[in-house]
Amino acid sequence: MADPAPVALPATRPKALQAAIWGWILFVAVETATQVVFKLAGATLDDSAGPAALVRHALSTPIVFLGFGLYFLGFLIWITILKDVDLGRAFPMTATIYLATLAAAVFLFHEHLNPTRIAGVLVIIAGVVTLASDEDTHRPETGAPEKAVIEG
Amino acid sequence: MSAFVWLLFALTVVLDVFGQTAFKLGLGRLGDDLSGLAFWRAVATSPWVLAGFAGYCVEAVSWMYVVGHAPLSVVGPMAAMSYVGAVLAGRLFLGETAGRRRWIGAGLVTIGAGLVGASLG
Repeated sequence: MADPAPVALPATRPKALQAAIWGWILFVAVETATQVVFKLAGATLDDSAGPAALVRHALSTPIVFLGFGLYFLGFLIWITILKDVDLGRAFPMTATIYLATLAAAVFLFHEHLNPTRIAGVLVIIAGVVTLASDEDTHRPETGAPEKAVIEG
Repeated sequence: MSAFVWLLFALTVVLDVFGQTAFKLGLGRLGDDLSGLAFWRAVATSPWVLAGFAGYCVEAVSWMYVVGHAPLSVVGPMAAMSYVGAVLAGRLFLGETAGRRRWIGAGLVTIGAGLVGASLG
């Protein structure tokens, strides 16, 4: 890629730079935490009782609300980032969420990564960066790849 | 991963793309002269925006179930398929033209998602 520059940061203003870096760290942390909490909350959902019981259960389980709260918080942070950074710059950076989510899967949930999976994730990250660095990328992204991160 | 979880995963991707497309369609029809409270009132009463929001709600619960019943290292990265869907939807429903980079990126994400899915064995 011709333009691998990470983010157009106002390098002449150290305070703004510092704030932007902390903003990104916070964003990736919240997005990753969202996936972790979603996984913990989702594991308590059981569809065998039928959709009505599922919704009732979801509405009475605190960790479900924590997950949605984090989801919304990530959305707010993302909007704040977009206020200062062009989408075309910010969007490729969301690829870092995939690495953080992968680390969470390995260290928190002890998932085993085989070479095929690692290769696949690297190809996905390369794809997201390529796709997002297109000249006039317009995607009103709201946080997760969601999930995948994420988000989605 | 069971067939049901795969089906729900596909649903989350479809609903994510539907939501993005619906928001874009809804906001595009509001007109440019709205501001402040009038803008938000128009947003909150736009059928497209409401449909997209309803889709997001179903998606969030579906995603919670999916990620709770599948390896995070599989469905997390594969969720990037919604970017591919967004490129396609932009082309099909919004009249957007995607540059070469975007198509190459969409192709890479698809190949990567295929590899990650295949890694389950």
